[in-house]
Amino acid sequence: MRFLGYSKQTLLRAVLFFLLVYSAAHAFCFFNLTFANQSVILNSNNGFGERIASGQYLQGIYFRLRGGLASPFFIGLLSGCCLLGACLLLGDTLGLHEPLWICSLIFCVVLHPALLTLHVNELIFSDATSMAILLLAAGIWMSLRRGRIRLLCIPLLTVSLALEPVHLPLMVVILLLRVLREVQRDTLNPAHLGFSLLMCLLAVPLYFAGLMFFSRHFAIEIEAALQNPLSVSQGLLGPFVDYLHQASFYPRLAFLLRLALLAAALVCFAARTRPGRRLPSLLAVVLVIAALYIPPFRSRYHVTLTYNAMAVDLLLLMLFALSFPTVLPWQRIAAATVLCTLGTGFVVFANQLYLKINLEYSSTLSLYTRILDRLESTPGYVPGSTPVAIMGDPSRCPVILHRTDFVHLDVIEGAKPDLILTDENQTVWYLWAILGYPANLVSEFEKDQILASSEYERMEIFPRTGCCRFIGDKLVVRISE
Amino acid sequence: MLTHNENKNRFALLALSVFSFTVMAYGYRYLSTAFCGDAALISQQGEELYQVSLGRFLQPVYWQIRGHIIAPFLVGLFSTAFNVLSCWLISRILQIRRTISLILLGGLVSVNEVFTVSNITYLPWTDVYSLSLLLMCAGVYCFFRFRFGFLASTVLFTAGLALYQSYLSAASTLFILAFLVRLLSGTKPREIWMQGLLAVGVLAASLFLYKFALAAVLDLMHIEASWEYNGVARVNDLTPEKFLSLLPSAYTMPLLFHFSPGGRQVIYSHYALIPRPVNWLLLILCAFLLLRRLRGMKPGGILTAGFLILVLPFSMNFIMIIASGTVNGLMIYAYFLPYLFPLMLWDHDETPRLLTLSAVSLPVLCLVLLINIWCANTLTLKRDLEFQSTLSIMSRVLERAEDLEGYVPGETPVLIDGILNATRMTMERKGYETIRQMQGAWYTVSAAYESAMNWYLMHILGERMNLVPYRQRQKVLDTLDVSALEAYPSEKCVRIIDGYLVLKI
Repeated sequence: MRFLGYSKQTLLRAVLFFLLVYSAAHAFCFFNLTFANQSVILNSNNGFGERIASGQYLQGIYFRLRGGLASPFFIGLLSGCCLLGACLLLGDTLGLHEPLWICSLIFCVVLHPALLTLHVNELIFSDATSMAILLLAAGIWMSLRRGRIRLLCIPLLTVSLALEPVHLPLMVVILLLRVLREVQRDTLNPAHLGFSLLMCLLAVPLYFAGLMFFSRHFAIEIEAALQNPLSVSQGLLGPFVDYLHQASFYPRLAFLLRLALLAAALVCFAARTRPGRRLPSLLAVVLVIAALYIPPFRSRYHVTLTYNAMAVDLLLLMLFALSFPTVLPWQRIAAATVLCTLGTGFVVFANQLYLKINLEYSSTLSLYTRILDRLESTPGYVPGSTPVAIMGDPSRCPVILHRTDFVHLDVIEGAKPDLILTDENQTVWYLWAILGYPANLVSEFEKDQILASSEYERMEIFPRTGCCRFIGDKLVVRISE
Repeated sequence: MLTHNENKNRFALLALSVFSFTVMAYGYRYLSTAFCGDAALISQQGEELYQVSLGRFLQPVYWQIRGHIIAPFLVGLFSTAFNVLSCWLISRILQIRRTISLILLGGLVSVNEVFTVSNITYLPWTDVYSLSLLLMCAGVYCFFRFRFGFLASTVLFTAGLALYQSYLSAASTLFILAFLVRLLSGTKPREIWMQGLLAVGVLAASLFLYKFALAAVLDLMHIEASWEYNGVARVNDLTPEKFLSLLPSAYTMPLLFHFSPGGRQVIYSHYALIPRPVNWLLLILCAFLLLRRLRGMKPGGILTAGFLILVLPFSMNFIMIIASGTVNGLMIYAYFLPYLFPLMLWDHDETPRLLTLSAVSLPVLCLVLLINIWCANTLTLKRDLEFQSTLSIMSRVLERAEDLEGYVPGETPVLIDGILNATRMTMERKGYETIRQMQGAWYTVSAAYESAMNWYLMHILGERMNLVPYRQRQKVLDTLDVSALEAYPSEKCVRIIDGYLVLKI
């Protein structure tokens, strides 16, 4: 019995391998309070308007279905199921049915900085991205079926883009890798594949139509990055440089190993391709490389920290898989050694990062306990009724130490701050959603008024005496410059 | 001879067993941040030379792989991986084959008092201990497996010593158990004696090799060996008189630890966990089964077996003599290896009657594991609660310090007088009486002593404080007039004296 082209044994191995690497790298995040940065809003439904503005207009609906509030463990569970499904579908699409190749694909997806970035910055939204990856893989897989059922790929890919539009370049790369595989196997059917490609690309205008509808219906302005996708540029060697510099605890060793893999993949592919197939194969590879430069529609983070950066890994994986249709035991051992070294580097890195976030959670709790103590010990303050303004960037508060021992983790966006709050506006969510403190916080307009006042300028900064006082009827605490 | 597939299945079973028992006992610990005591030193950057001065010169090398940050889940992952390999090697050394034996072996090797004590208070070293154990097991395995394996054993034991010295006792205990298995399986006593002498030689050679390697490393790094209670400098003080004076206690300590009703506290600052009747039951069972197995043997065999049983307690604790009499809850891993003996007897029994009788030990061993799992979880809960309460206390204490006129965070030098564990703001929680006597378990807060307090403020709270290093704290305090200060929560608990912010807790 086979499932998606995998034998029962391969499928079992793939699932076990997924569980092993997924839990080794990310379990600590799912079992602890690792809410940081955007996640401090806690309720995913709160960012509905912002999601539409950034082009992820179906995320709001997804979170209504999932439930706005979700524990890290539940998010991890959903995310894990989606990523496992995506890996199996992608593996089938690219013909990676050999245990080594499907495990390598799982390795690329699970141990990728994109997932780390998501967990560190937007944990509460991360399962939507995983769902988008699953739908993307399902859409491409469906487009390659025969019969009318393949039309289902259009809604699947549209929904995938509407959940996370940044993955369009990845979609094109996967389709071109399929072309490469068919060229190598002499099974290329230009009409069939061309039609599949066309249907997949049909999802793009549909996605934009949906975006227009949502933005007009909810009267929300679309983000500039989405209106002008060509603004993102990576440079000629960008994708390859990003591939070589992925997050690892052993950056130099990982760099050298990745460089060796890149060279080995190209040499093996060139040496093992039959002379008659060399030109079309080369053309297909060039097309895949060209697709790496397609700018994403939206990029909140650097492109290295999105799943698009996985495209080079997929290309190399495909070149290896095509070069070695049958894997010898020594080749398996060599591959396992390389994967194990790279994987260990990533797992160490990820666990250190999650620990840092967890420690920052404790630091933030302690800092805000002291700030609230100042508020509460000010005569005239009535919790929940007196208007309160907590002014200043919490991460620049003078009592907070920069954790220099964790400085090597800064390659991941969101790892740099020393508190879980990265800007002033997150204070409100932290107090309400996480501390559950009934602070009557003033509006942004009122904060601007306070900022412009001369009394505020004369105020001391926390923790000095005089950092907390009434300006008019508002109780103001100044926590940084 | 087992086939490749049988070997693979046995390894998978052992891995599953170690993983399951580890998750049951320590899963909660590895997935939480309940740092306490020495574990509050979350980053070990800058601690390399200190570890070398303690004689553990391979620890900094290992940190290059594991990282100097103590991420609990990572420590758990590495430790579990090493324990799986150790179990695999032990199963080969002791020739354990039955499924139930393999499952219990996984549990007994990876879940015990030493790992519990380490996980709750000394987390940064849990995986180091596991790696040291693995190297010792690999040494014993090579000794029996290869013709010139004793050479590799010497090197592996030396490496194990350079990670954590006391696991050499685990190697010697494994040797004794392995010789017993071989004797019961029909190996000639003469061969056992020859191999035994060679094993003693290997253990001694590894100690000498370690001594020379350590001297070379200390010389290369221009540092002195530590004279602290766990340092290696005192080893040189071992005279023949001292050796003889320590010999009786080194021999009797494991026996008292396991069997004496009044001997629960034979080891300083650590109470034994497993109830004495359980140990007595296992002892009686093992003695009976062993006598039945020896009945048909020649006198030479009986004498050899008797000798091996006699030296077993010494092999578990001989490191105590080398450590000049020091023993603590982290040094006694070998004390728990004899729990494998009933397992071995059951596994090697072919007689139906004896097999039924020896099977009685299996539920008893399950009970041992159950007690360990309960203890590990309860202590982790205690630590987790203490971590929360320390956060609360420290926030209140810091608030007092920061509110003081003239205090500049990160600039004003800060002195903390006293330790949190001894203040009126903490209390011993009810319900932990049975386990609070285990090493480190009696702390009531995460920052339980001077150094831990500094580590807590720096690494856990991430507080920008110019703390006076804890080694200079008392010296500076002696020069200041702190008589006007009263302990926290008094109003007079904090003052700026001669430019120092002094906080009395």
